[in-house]
Parts: sequence; structure tokens; C-alpha cells
Amino acid sequence: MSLSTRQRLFVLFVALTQLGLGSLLTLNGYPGVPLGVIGVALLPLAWLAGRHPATPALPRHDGDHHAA
Amino acid sequence: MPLDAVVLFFVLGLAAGILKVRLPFPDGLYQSLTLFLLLAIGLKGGAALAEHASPRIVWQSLMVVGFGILLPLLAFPLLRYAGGLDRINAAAIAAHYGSVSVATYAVAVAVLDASGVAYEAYFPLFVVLLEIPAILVGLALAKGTAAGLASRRLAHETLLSPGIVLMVGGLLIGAFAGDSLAKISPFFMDMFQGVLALFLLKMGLITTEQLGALKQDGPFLAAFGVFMPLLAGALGALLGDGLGLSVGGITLLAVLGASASYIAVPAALRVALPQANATLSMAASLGITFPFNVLAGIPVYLLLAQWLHGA
Repeated sequence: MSLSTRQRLFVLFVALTQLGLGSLLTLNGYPGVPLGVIGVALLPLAWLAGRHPATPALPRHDGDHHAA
Repeated sequence: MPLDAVVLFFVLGLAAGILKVRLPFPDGLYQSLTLFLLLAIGLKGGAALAEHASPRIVWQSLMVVGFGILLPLLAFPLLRYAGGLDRINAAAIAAHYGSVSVATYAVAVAVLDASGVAYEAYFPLFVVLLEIPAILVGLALAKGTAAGLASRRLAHETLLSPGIVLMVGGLLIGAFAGDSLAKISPFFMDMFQGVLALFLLKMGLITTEQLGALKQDGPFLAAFGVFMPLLAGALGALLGDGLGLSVGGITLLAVLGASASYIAVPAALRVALPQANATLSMAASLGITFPFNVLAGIPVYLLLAQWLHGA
């Protein structure tokens, strides 16, 4: 299975998991809307997934600047 | 359902960042707020530790360290094989997700306090314990098991990072100060929520800065950033239930599992894995996982804890 397919399947799986969990919570009277919204937002990302993330060799030096 | 005031400050920071509002928030103030929160959390935990010290805590601590070792081992194959990241970057991100975020922990404590849910007050001990193992596992994943803390500089960055020193220092002061702790309580305890609110305002601004990096680095990391907290949170909740913790304790262990580090890990990895791309880790942990936990995750972990405790 190619990398792009694996990435797409993973993003789709996560989107459906969030949607499912959000729906389950909402149907049972709990606040599940945020999870549902995240699931919906991830669905189109599944189509965009597939390219290898750009990982330049040069590190950023201000990571810890945002500490906590 | 009314939203927690502290969380709303985070939303305000997010909104200001998205709208590109120039909020004057000096770096010195941000560093001071961080210092205050780390010390206050340590002091609270130390006072509780002095009051409730028991052999049971030693056993729980060992299990929590084991949990900290397990998390990066779960994250690494996902990043490597589902995400296609190279070994160094996969290990670096896994180390971030195996460690903890003190800010997320502080928000969870505020939510539990606001909801009137009791929790084991010695939890800051677990926060400290969970900071370190993931760094060592991340290094082992990146370089092999010989990496360890062989470098003196790395050992210094890992074991004596400012976050760990302040929290452990607070713990020790809280544990040994006895009744004299009451003298500083009005400052460190009563002002905690207000300081946390200001801190989260800044975190909202920082989050919007980090989101920019994800535009180029991919949908996969965005999905990973919301999946890993749910997986680790569920495992943390199960462990908390197994350790016989209260509902609040189970929630906090879930939160600790679900959160990703921004103090100890970036500092240590800057020394140990300089070739790792810190932007990837920070964008995922600060840009995705931190807001996810604050806005959506913590209520879910609380529900899970209540369900587990009831079952």
C-alpha cells in the first residue's frame, strides 16, 4: 500500500472516529458537537493527505521559547 | 452548558490571533506566568504529598512511569508507518506525545475544581514523573538504546530543565514547609485561576502562530494531533481506574496521557536530536493537540472517568 493511501486511510479513520464519538455523545445528551465538528473538518483533509510532509533538516531554535 | 471562564480566555486568544489583533503581551510576562504556574502546581502537590504520603503512591508512581514509556512506543509506529515520517522526526514527535503539558494539566484541574470533582492532590508528582521517560524512549527510538543520557549536556537538559526544577522545587517546598506554607498561599493558591486565565490568553495567540506550519506540513499531522490524545487519554483513564483513583484522578491521568509536552522535550531534543524538525512537533502539539484537549478533550475524559468509575 502506498504512503499516500495509508495517510488518506488514517485521516479518514480519524475523521470517522471523531464523527462517531461526537454523534454518540450528542445522542446521549452530552456535549459531542466539538468532536463532530473536528470530524467534519478532517474529512476533506483526507483528500489532501498523501504527500510526504516537508521535513527540512534545519531545526527551528525557538521551539522552547513557547514553553509550558 | 456554561463554558469555563479559564477556557474562554484561551478562545479569546485564538480569536485575537486569527483576527491578527496586536495584543501587547510581553515575553517577560509570559515567562513569569509560566514560572508562577509551575511553582504553584508543585507547591500544591507537595503539600498534598506531605499530608497523604503512603506506599500506595510509590506503586502508582511506578505504573505512571511505565505509562510514560508506553506512549511514545505507540505513537512512533503510527508516525513512521501511517505517516511516512523519517525515523528522527517520528521519534521526536513520539517523545513530545509521551510527555505531558503542564498547561493542559492546569486547565483540567481548573475544570475539575469548577465542577466540584475531587481528585488526588498529589498528582503534580505524576506530572513530574511523566516528563522524563518519553524523552529517553524517543532518543532510543531515534538512535538506538545506547543513546540514553550518555551526553552530560543532554542529561542536564533532560533532568534539570527549568520546568522540572521549578515543579520539583515547588513539590519539595510544599512537602517540607509545613504550616508556614500558609504565608504564601494567598499569592500562589488564590491567584492561580486568574494567572492561568492570562496564561491561556497568550497560549491562544501562540496556537494560531503554530497552525501556519501545519498548512504546509500536512493533514496527517492534524489527524494524528487529534487521534493520539484520544488513544492516550483512553489508556490513561483505564490505568487510572486500574490504580483505584477517584473520578478526578482518572480524568487527570487521562489528561496527562493525552497531552503533549512543550517544556522538557523541546529543550532536551534540541540538544539530543538537533536534526529533528522542531516545527513539526510544536505545530502538532501546540497547534492541534493543546486546543483539542482544552476545547473538546477534557470534557470527554471526564465523562469517560465517570463512566469507568460507575461501571
